[in-house]
Amino acid sequence: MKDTGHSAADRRGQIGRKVRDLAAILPLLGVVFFASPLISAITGGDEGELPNAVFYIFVVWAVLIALAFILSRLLRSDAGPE
Amino acid sequence: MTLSFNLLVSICLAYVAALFLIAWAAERRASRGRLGILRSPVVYTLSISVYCTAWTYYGAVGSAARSGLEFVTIYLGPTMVFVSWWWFLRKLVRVGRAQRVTSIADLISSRFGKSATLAVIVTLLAVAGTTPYIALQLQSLTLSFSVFAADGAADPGITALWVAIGLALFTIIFGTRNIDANERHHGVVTAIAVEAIVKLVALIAVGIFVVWGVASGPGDIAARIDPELLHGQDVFSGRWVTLIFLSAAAVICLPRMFQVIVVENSDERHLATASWAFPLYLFLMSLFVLPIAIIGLSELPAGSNPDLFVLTIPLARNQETLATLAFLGGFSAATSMVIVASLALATMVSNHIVMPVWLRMSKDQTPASDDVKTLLIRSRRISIVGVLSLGYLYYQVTGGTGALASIGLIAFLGVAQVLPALLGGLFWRGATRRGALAGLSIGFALWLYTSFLPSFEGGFLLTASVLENGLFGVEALRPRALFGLTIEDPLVHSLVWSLGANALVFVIISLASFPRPIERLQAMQFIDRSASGGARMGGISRVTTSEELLVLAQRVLGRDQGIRVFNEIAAEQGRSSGLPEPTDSFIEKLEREFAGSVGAATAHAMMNQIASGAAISVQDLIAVADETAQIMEYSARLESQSKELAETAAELRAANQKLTELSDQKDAFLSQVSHELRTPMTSIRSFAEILRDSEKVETAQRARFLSIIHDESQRLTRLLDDILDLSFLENGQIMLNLEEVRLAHVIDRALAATETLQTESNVTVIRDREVELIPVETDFDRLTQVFINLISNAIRHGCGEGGEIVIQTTQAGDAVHVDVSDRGPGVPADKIDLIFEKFARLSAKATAGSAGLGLPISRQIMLNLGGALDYLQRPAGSTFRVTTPVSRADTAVQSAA
Repeated sequence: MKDTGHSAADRRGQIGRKVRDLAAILPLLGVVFFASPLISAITGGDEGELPNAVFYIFVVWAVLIALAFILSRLLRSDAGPE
Repeated sequence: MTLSFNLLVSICLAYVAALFLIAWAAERRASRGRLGILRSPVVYTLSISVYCTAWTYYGAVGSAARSGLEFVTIYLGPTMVFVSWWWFLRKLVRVGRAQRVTSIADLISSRFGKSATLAVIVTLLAVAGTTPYIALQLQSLTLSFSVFAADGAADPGITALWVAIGLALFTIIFGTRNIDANERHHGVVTAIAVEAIVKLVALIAVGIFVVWGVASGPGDIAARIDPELLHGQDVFSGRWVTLIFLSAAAVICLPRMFQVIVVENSDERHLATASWAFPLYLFLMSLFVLPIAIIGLSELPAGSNPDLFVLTIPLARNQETLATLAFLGGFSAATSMVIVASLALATMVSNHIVMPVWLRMSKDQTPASDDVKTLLIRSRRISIVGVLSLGYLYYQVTGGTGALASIGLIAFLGVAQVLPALLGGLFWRGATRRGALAGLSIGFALWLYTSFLPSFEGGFLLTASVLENGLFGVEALRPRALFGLTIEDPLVHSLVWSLGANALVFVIISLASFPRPIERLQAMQFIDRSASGGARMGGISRVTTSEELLVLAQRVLGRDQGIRVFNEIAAEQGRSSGLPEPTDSFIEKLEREFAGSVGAATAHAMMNQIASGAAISVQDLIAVADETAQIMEYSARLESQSKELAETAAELRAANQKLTELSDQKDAFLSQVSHELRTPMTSIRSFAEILRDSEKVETAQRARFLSIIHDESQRLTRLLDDILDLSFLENGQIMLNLEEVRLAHVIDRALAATETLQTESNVTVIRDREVELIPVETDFDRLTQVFINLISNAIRHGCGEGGEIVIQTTQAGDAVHVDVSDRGPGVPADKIDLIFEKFARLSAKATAGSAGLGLPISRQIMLNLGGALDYLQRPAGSTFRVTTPVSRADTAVQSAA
């Protein structure tokens, strides 16, 4: 890929914006995966067995925490008092 | 059971003593300014885990045993709130810190125009929601004690009482030691952080023991799942979503959560760590809940209380140390909750109920020597005791009945009523105080009616028959099926009614009402973070003096701190000594300091009381508007002044340029003069030298030399006369001998004077003497001088041999024009401006016998005589026009004729 002429600072600014957008989307992901009918579709609804549901919830939860961890590292520099 | 009850009590006391020590050490460190670890994000995150109370510690296992995965919802809600820290919690914390908010009631009241009524409602709501919760903790503590005292060695009531007293003591000691302006309690927070570690370690230890000690790994656990649990109903349901939502709301609205997340926050950046660390804490807390429940169900005899599996499984396996650790974990969970909750509630009660009442009672009294700080601390201590007493009372009344979880969720729903006002306040500019008041009141009432009172199962206010048949027997008013809305789950039913009506009414009333000025001001400060420096309405508190403010500050903050704050502000204002100026920013800062102690509404009321102005009234706004208008007018004036200044500067520049030019002219004049003087002087000197040095000069030659010297001397004299003349004329110092003369006589005389020249050059003068008989008012000699000059010029430059000069006279109104023309080459167009300049000679030929001062002198003479001398541009030759005023007597005669 050829550099399109954007300065490094400009690129950093764009990446920062993307990170902030992702931070806003993250709780939405939580809602979609935890508080929507999606959860019964994946865990099998009434026929589903408990271990499946437990596995699903804890895995999604762990992913969410990991993402939050990464985001907090990326956002920390922005989070200072303005 | 070999573990004796007394030993357990001793362990508890030792643990509490350790907590005291830790809190005390933290306070000491903080007071010495060595905050270090006390302000680390880890401590902050751990203190947030006060969310996990005994209810989640013991109750989660119970809930898991009864309804499977449902317990997870209580942790998922907060997880989602914390991962949304970037746009939500950060704003909440930032606003809270900027406004020096002391509690959630303070935040709501502050946002909606520092409304005291709102603060009271939220406080009451918080008390109503927290009291059962405290009772819950007392209950789980006594329950866990009773597990160890199987022989009934301890009366649960007595245990609860002792626990309540101990907790009150701890809270009073570390929660009200000082009324800090920013309301942070390092001792309490540190102790809670330690307790957070204890409960996490305890639960994980029990979990590990259960999975690998009792069972043989996760596979075994999965195999032991109760068939009823294994094929439970669908995970996703209305209740599932409701619980996630409620727990998310609770994690920000619960007074104790607000206290640790917002009030105790010392650095906004700590949220970044908490955003993942707190969900991780919750994750770990819930990891072993299901295994413990599953093993408890399969191992322990049927009918065992699943809420106590955490304790009873290790005890059943004779793991006393583990059981003790588990007990301490539960103890930590319960005590930390009670401490923080009673601290937060006491702050609210004393700031929003006790202080306003006191203020109203002492409204017109002069400040007593007893300061507000003492009163504040006393009222907080009493509030703490009051809150704990209420909790204890509740525990005694309900008699420890009912499942733990249901009371906890009812409390969640109660405090969640604050959510619409909180969210609206933070993100919606149009939210008004009336809207918040109406929404909160409706939500509060519906919650009481559909959730809180029915939880007593007919034991308090609402009887069993009302629960069954509705209020006054009206079917539509059944608390669990309001207006015929039958939702199986009473919690979901209550949530739909109370929170739904709350939010709806809040929005509708907000849309229908208009915010007061102070609300709009606060809305601006809450919603635009950038504006949180805060512009206060100007002109409102000007009447306040610094002395009055100091007295008030000492009463509120205490003597030393009051003086310290004043000194800081004075230093900021650049004063080395004395009191600061009561500027608006100073007053606002002071109000915020007060808000840290007594809450925004009370602080505002106090400042207004002393500033002898009520709330911001229309008059204040008009005053502000006036001030703005004045400033605008002033700036407009400044603008015009600066424009004037610019013009003056331009004029000055022009004048300066003119002066420079004049100075240049003067220099040129001087050099011309000296040059003109040098020429005759040189010839005089050389001829005089010749006569002196050579004796053999012939008589004829001698005579010629002498005549040259004589001529040159004369020319010199004439030149000097001219220069003097000109300078007199230019300064207007010339004496004029004005009289009525006939123009013809003047011209006759001039022609006579130049006769020699005329005959020499053979020049003819053409004139009409009849016309020239006009009488003019002038100086005869001077006017003659002008004509002589003009005629001799015409002869010298204009005619040549045998030329003619035309003198033409015309009368134009009050003036007479005399044009003197020749047939010469004329003046080139580009030199016309120069001919009236001193020493200006147009060609080298013209030099002879003239210093070039004739025309300038003539023009000056004419100006002095009230006339003019101009050069008229004609196709051929040159024409000079003399304009001179007609004699007044003559004009009179003419007009009479």
